[in-house]
Amino acid sequence: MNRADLRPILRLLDAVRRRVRLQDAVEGLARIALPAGLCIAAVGVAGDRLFGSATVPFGPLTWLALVPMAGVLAWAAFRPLSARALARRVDAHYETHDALGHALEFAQPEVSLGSQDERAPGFAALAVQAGLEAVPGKRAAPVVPIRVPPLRRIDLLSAALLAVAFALPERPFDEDPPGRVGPDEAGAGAELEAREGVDMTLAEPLREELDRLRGREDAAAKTAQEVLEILAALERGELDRAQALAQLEALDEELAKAELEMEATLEEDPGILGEGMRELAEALKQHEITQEVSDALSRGDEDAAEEALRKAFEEAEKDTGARDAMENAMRDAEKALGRGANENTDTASKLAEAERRLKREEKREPPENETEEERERRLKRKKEDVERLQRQHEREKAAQRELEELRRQAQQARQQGQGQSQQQKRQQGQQKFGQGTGEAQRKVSKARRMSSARDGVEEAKSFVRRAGQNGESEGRRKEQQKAFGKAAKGDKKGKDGQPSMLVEGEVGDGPPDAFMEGEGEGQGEGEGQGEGQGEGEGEGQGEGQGQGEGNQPGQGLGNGMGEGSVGALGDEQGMKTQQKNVHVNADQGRGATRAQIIEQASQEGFASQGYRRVFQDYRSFAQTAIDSEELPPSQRRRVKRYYQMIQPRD
Amino acid sequence: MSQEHKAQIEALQVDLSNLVEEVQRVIVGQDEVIRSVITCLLARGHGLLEGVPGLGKTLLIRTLAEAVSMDFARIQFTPDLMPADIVGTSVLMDDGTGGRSLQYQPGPVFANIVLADEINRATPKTQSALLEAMAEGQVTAAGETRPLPQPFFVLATQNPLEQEGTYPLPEAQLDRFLFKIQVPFPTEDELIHILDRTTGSEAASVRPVLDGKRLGEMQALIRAIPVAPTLTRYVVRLLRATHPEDANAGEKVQRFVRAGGSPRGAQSVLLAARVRAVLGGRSTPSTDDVRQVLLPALRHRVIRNFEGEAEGVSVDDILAELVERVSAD
Repeated sequence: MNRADLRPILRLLDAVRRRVRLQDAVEGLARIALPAGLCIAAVGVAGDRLFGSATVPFGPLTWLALVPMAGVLAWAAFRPLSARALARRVDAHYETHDALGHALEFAQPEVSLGSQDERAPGFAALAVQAGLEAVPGKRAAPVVPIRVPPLRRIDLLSAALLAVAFALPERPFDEDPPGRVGPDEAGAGAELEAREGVDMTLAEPLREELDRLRGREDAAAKTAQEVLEILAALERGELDRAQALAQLEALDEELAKAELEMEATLEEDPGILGEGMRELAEALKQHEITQEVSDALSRGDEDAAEEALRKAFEEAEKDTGARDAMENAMRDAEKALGRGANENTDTASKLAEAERRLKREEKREPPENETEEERERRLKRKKEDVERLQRQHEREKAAQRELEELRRQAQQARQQGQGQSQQQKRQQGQQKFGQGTGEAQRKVSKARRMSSARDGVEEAKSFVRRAGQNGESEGRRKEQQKAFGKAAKGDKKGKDGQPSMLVEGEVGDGPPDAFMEGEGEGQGEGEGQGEGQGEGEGEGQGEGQGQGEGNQPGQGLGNGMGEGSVGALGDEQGMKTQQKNVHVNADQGRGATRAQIIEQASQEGFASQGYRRVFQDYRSFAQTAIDSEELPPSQRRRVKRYYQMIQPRD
Repeated sequence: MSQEHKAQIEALQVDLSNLVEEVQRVIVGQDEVIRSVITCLLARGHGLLEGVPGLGKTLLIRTLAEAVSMDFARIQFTPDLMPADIVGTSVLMDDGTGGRSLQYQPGPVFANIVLADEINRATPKTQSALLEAMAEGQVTAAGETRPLPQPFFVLATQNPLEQEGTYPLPEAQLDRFLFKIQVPFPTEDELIHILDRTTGSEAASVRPVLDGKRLGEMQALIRAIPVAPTLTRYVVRLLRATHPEDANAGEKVQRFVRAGGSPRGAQSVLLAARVRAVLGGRSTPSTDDVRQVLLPALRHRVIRNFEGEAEGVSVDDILAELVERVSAD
């Protein structure tokens, strides 16, 4: 019997086969693919939430959740299903005593019948016929009912796992490196941020400081108020970071104009004046009668200082003991003011040096490869340096004159004698001293407030730039900190005993990894022959200008500051330093340690070339710390001033 | 061709139906027991009926013998029964010429149907007297081998082994029985029917509906029934799975069985399945037929170990697990 004769049976079995595959798929999907897929999806979603990128809706791991489904479907579609097994299933369902199965078997050619009797083939044919007769009325559906298995505990657990994964906090959108953010995406990111607002927790110290500046009617107070308003708008989400930065930049320009105006009206150097007033406050602090005056000066409250001084003088006029105490206080004030008035700054020497250089440059034949235009530009720069130093020198002199004037008034205020004319003179001197102190303190306060306003704007800009970043660079910063600590302990440096550059590349040299705008500013000079190692860290556009100078071969390294830095450490005006070769004692041929270099430089006025390299290392490291949001603004300014003080000198 | 074969099967069904009807004139209920005994007859196998006294075992066999119109002999096994009492012995007799000679006197085993009543009451030595007769259809006595009349069936009865004064049959002897048939206690209706029938004034009589020739034809027909290869393989798998060391052996087999069935057991299953197929009017046995005959065909061939006996696990339970576990292709 051939297979064509079995067609009814085979058709029925084909239908059964299709239903078996369908049921396999349904059952496999429910039993295996569903829980497995949910578990994989949960892992994928959790991975994306915790470690992945929020810009991709589902990470590759999440898509793996579809693999069990595909596997089950493939298995259901392609797993072998023999006709005999299917026939047995139909026979079992309809209780036909293997009629279909036996028909298939006995229809095979040369099948073993298990009997040698001549009647056996006849009985086999009868079995085949019985199989064919059994087909009518048989359907595949009852044999293989399609049922969706009920949910099990593992399915619910898997679903719960996925729900938990979705409940995990999502990473902020602006985690993407800037290189991947196109204009549209950046706009979308800013828009999103604008909707959500910015967490201002880290800006609280800045806001408190700005709040303190608001008390008066001056440019600093106005600036502080505006900066606070910008930050508040940013917090509420009314401004995005780009808009806030733009407004802060505008504010910065206004502040620069106000500073120029102040500089034009203020003849005295506020630094010298401030130092003199600080010493005056310290001197008056030693005496009980002038304690209030000292406190008021320390607070920067000139009106209170003037009033306290007036009261102290009145008290001294009434009581002999108080008069003696006041006289002692005035004597100490006189000394303190005298020290301030006679303080020797290096501006004069710098000015002289700058003038010499200018003259030398003017007389010197221009190099062959230098055009006239370049020469003029170079000379102009030198002249500007000279003019700037001249202005500075004049202002310092004016400040010193004012301090000297105050000293004379203090002297006059402590004049002895009970005669009327002497008493009148003393009272005039006391009045003038009080007014002069108040006036001087007013100028100092004004400059300080302006400086604080400037710092506030800078801080605000820095904060806005960094808002939304999760401190990715903290790990790298800590690594750098560790390496720096090791090097600072005096560990030997790199090859040839040369001190290695701990940080290669100045702050701002690194590739930008945050949303930035504006141009890098800063001016520096390169030096050294570094075989630097380490890693630079910066978040500006890396537009610091490096300018190599020096008589040693080597690669100039710029110390330009990108705008990612909060504030460049050292002299912001790019104080020129002169290279100077110094003899360093060899320590087993491996060069001096940092500690030795620093110790030697402190004795020689911070003028050695080795110290210059060490300073650069330290400054670079400190710059990263300054850039950290964790450092309060007041500490930041302190570090900045410290580095200005210890920067390499001529 | 097919119609002719179909007619043969139908004729066999009719004859067997008549036989069953005749037996049921005397025996009340016990349908499955009757079917099993008939299966033994058609498969040329011997049957061992086990049950407590008074269930009609002996009556069933005697009635069957009457219905098939063949020589019937009944041997009541007792503890003092000797092998010669079964197979016969040589006695000194006059030869008619004044001389005397030893002449063989056949025992009761020389009959078509031998009822070995309460076979486990005889000693093992006497029980073993039936070994050759059951296996080879012949007996050897006084140095001479004599064939037994054909067809030859031994239908034995035994009381449950736990009873007083019984001797368990040796495994070799047990293996020669096609079926070990458990005779159940009658149901309430059956008992009422039995009482009505046996305590009245009329005793039921049985008329012969088959003879030895027709029975021989039927047996030949059974052996002509084809068996599908997958079914043969299924039977082999089932039998192998009764052995603890087999891969398909279930937990109970591994734990409670000392020895599994012999190849003779597989033969029994397959032959009995053929009979069941024909009884059902089918031309080839199915897996259902195999499952139906598995218990009576193998329950006396699977030997429990001490743990199995101590735990009270029956062989039927072990075989039931086997049926669940082993599947056909």
